[in-house]
Amino acid sequence: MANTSFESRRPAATLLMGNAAIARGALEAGVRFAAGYPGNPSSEILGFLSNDTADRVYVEWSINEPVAMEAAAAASLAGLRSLVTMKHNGVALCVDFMYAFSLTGCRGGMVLIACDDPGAMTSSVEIDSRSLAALTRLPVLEPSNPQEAKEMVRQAFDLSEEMGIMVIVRMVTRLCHGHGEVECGPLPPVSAAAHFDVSRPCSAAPNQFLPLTRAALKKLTAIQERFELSPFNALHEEPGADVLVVASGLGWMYARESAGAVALPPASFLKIGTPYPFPDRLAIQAMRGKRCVLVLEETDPWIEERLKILASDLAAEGHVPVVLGRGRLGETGVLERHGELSNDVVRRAYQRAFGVELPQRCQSFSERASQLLEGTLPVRQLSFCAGCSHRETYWAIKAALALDGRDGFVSGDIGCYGLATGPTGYNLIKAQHCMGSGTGMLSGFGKLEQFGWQQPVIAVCGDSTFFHSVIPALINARINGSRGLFVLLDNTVTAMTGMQPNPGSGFQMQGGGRPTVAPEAITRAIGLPTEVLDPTRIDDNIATLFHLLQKPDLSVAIFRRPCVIHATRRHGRPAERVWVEQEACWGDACGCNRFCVRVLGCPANKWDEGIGKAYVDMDTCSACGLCVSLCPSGAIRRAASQDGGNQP
Amino acid sequence: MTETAAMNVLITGVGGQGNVVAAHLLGVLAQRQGYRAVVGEMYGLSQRGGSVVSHVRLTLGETLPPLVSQGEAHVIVGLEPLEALRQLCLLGDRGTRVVVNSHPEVPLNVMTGRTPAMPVHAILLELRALSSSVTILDGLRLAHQAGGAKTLNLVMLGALIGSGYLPLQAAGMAGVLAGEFDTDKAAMNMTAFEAGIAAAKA
Repeated sequence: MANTSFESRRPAATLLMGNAAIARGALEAGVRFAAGYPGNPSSEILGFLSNDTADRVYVEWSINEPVAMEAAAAASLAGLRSLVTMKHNGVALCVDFMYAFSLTGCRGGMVLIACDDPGAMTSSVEIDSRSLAALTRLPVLEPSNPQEAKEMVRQAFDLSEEMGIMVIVRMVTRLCHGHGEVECGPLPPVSAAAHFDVSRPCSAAPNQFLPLTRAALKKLTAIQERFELSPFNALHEEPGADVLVVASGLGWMYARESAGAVALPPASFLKIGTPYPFPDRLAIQAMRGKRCVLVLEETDPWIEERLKILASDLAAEGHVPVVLGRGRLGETGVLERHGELSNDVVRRAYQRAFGVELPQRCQSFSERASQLLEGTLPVRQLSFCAGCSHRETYWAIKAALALDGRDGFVSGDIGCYGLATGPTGYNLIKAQHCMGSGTGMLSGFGKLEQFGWQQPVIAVCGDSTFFHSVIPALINARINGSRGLFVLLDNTVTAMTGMQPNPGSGFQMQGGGRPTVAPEAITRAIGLPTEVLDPTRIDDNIATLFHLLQKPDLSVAIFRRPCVIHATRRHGRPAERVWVEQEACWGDACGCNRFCVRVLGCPANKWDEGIGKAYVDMDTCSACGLCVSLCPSGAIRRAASQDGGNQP
Repeated sequence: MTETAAMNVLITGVGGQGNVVAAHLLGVLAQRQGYRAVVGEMYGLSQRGGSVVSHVRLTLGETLPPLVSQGEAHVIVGLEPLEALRQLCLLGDRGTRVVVNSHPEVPLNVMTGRTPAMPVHAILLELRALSSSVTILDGLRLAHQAGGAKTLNLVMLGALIGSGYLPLQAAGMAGVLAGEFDTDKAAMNMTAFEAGIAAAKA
């Protein structure tokens, strides 16, 4: 959106993205320091904060999530209100710090926005931050809509500051990226000077563990008492109902709307907005006298298992309700073990739990729709953007590995270039897990020679991932003498999550430049021979990579070209145009098997079925010239003019 | 169609076609005409050629969850015909109405020959067979006339309003655009919006 300025928004209800509502809540709470590492669905929050409030709040994209959390914690220890944002994987990385920080506590209010991705729609895995919060004993609030998200963030700062403990607000993808109406409140005046009171040290240490833990448990108990009465939890009792529906987050919204769409038996509803510490007494009161309890929550059966424990407290009264939900391992629950909630998922849960009839679609429609979805409609594969330099780099890697002929493969990492697990990167990546793991695995594969290992391995990572978590793995590979090739696909920006700056980018989010850390300075300091290559020089790069694959040690190739989407946004579309010279394209008679369309797989290279020749889609093409250099009959041309180009 | 207090609109296409902006603009326009709006979507991989869909739910009642249930989409706005058919199959029913751009974005996996093609005329015929009302227009051509492919989303938003499938008025759109874009872009988008209205009414 062009205009996301909060200052200019009217005070009445405004249609805000969930992530904007989070930012607004933090501003209304007087946040002064915000840090994070980009990752969907969390990535927009810091952008909204930094838009027009540089004098009010300092905002940075940190090198990784633990550093972001530690930096924000420092601001809290200095008495400022601070915010840290990340996706669920980042929370998992921060667990070590969270264990210690929950003991030592914070000073200025500090809030972690933990953005989970139920169904792993833009992630490799599902992680439930509530489970990590409970492990590390940090309180959690869980909103069900953008208005509540804003309100919870505001109150989380107050709670954190009063109790001296970081508070987590747990978001999910649909809430982060969805829009809803939010009533904005006033922004407080800017105040407070930063200072750390050295007479009150803040250190977790062996001799401090027991006293700190006792104090932390006391805080949590006080917070639990508070949560028992929190308006974020609500029990809607239906007189005579022997069924209870317990729901949190978006589950609450689906629970209510779906209840109106089916003929539920008389049911009471319990909304949970404070999953940890759990309001045990409220839940026991709600479950008392019920025959059946259905739990609707995103990701882990966290509340479900809590209720099963609490149900045993009711055994003494002679009546234990059945608790239904995602179920135990090996058991079929009324919900799937994983995947996000929706009205449809919740309706099916109502059907399985209570035997209600579901609304049906017209039968003939439903049958034809199923046929089309199962057989006819092509699913869209993801691809690198037209003109993405990763396509060029992977083309060179593919060719070099084929020339080498020893069954070599690529060990991958997380980012745009991770799409090389699929056809757009010629299926080159054969092992991929989490940030930094591609190079950690190279370190291991590269030490297997004494066991008869002969395959060459190329670890790939992007520039942001390099700084985030690859450097220790690369040093490990170097000092242990691992054999292999490390390829950095450097597009100078954190592209996958929306073009955030990283240490190699040379700009920062609140405007202005900053020092650049060159990855080659680091790899050379580690003692690794490093080639910096231009991805467009395909033939040279194939030869270079082939040569490096034959070496008996570890080497580095950095392929550097700015992300084409980022460059276009900053500098406009290139003046060059690329087109297929129709007289020079032989069509299917060429014998190239429609090389540009079928083999190269760039979204801008298209085929005109009518005339049986290739053409270039000018709306998509960014004139990178890869197809120009690879077309076997030289039919694809590039010129620095507005002429040329073809459109069917 | 099941009786429900909400008006459920799906806006669907492929990454880069301006789905997210169109959904937001529809929400703001509806809000100015007295409705409570909720928009549900997810993105992150959309720039990379994938299917995208935004759920826009308008109501006079209490806040709704962000996703439309199966069979309960009232209108599907297709920036791309294959995606319109996909969403119709997933969330539509016989009474679901469709406003669709006839210009296909052929999936890369079809182009590369890994997946069998479904020609655009077959897609449009299926839409007509499944839905009670389908409005088809060459949205991309109108977008090029209005200022470029990037205005396709506004052409299709105009077609949605022009179709009369929703109780929303075009009046106020200029104000909405002025609040979201700079002057030149707002004017170009307004031209595209008006072209869409005219095409749907023709």
